[in-house]
Amino acid sequence: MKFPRPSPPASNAGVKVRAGTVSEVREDAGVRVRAGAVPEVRAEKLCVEFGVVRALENLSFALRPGSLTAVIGPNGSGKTTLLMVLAGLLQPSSGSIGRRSSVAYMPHQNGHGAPIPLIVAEVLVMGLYRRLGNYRRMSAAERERLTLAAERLEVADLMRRQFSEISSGQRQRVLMAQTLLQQADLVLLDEPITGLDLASRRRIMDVMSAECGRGAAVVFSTHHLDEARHGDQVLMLDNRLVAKGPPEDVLTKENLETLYGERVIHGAPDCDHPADRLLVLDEHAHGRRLETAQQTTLQ
Amino acid sequence: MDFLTDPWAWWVEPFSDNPFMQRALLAGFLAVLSTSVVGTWVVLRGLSFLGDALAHGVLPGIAVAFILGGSVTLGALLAALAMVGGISAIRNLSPLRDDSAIGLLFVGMLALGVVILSRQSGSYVGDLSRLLFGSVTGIGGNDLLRSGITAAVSLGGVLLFHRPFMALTFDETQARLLGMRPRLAHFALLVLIANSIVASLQVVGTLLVFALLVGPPATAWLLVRRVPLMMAVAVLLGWLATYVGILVSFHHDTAAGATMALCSVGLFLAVLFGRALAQQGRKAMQRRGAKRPKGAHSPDGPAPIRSAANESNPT
Repeated sequence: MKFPRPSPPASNAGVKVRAGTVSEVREDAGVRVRAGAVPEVRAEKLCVEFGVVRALENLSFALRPGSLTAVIGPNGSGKTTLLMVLAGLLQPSSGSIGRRSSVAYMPHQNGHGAPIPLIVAEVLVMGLYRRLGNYRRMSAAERERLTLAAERLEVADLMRRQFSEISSGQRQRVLMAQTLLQQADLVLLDEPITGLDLASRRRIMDVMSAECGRGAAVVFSTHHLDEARHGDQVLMLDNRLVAKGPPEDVLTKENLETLYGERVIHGAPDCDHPADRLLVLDEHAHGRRLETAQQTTLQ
Repeated sequence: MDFLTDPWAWWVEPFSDNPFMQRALLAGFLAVLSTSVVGTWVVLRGLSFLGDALAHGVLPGIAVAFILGGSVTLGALLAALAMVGGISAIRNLSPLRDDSAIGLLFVGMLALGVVILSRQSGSYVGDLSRLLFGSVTGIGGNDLLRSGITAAVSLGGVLLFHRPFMALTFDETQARLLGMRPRLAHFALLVLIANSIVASLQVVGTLLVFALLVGPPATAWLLVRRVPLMMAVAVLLGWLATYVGILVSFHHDTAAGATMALCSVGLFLAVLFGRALAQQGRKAMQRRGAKRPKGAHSPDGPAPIRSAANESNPT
């Protein structure tokens, strides 16, 4: 599955952009990037330990304003820990991380199952709390921004519904709209597209690109390697940094074998790109499950 | 059956004829105002155990105030604040979960109160029992003023911290990133709970205040699905329980605080069962509607399914 980025217009022919990066969208949309106004976030030799367990070891990388960074790795490889350190919710055991002016963090949605009586509109307004403070009312412009964010994530018709009663995919989109409203310089998204249908995934990827276009540094963790390929850089984690850099340099056969094991990669059918092998392998497995289910039903 | 046969005499005259009943009703309403708005957050955040523990944990403060001849309200407030500080300290300094910290201080403070009282002579027992179980009918002008101030503090606090409480209830991590200072908000809520308990001391007493703190908000949650609405409905339900409780106490000579607490819990049970019955009724109606074939009208009832099927499929 691919999320095509719009091609650069003819007027931008002179602008040097790397194909398949968010820079393209940024230039294409004619948005003036605030790069330079916000300094890049630089992490140096980050280590996080939980007792004797070392969750992250010696991580160094930089997040440029207006860039999209994908964090990949198997379960337990430290993706969420890294995002929490970047958000300032967790202190690293050693190493340093540059100052972040404003941070928005969308946790993995499993934590939002409590049936508290909140409607979707109230959850969205929380995205403006930092600006509104404890008691200032929303201005007309802020109201408009809220409506716009809801429309972009296609949740405008859910505004009066109870948050606990909408589907998990809808909840994910509501939380994404809430993140969008924060207009942070560093946007951290923990598995934002996991478990979503194709249309919702496409919608969220588009919004992430637009956030980069605004000048924000967007970091998202994912198990979907095909979506990781749309990032400007990929951080491949296995409690340490296995590889970092542009997707074409990181998502190589050797690195994927190191991360997911040789058997998984070689068990997949032939494809042009190793990342596609994993995807195709997953789809084959899904197809086999479907066939088995159909046979069982026929019997 | 006087409340049906002679409603004026049963429902209104006790208040119109007796100033002490008017004061009792006003004190009850002020206590409910305070406990219902704060109690809504107690129920939503799952802090009922904390509310109960705080209500009992004020006992040493009351005991010391009695012995020293000071203000009981101030003693209770100081004891509640000491307990709130202790819970926060244990939460920050140890890996223990909140319920362990609350349980430890609950038992510790209650035991301290009993130990202090056990060293005193029997003259305090009557006064203390009034504070443990309330003495709403013996309320004076100063008590009403104190109740009014504590109710105003609760309302003001809930209004000021509405957004932090919303964010904290939704997701503590998000609350922190949204600049809503969840630790401060949590501490503020604990102080407001302590304030509400103090507000209800003379009305239902420390042992029964929990019924007002949790009863009306829990009942309101069964009926409405928005936080501000929940607070408003909780206040109305609490006022209803207070009004009926005081009247029952007046006519049948029962303990006023306990009767109000009983009315509050009874109201919850009535709404719970009424709601369950209504849901069953709705489901039964839906099932009946689903069985009836479309377009089948008969004065004797719905047409048999077989005949309706034959009409639509003549082969």
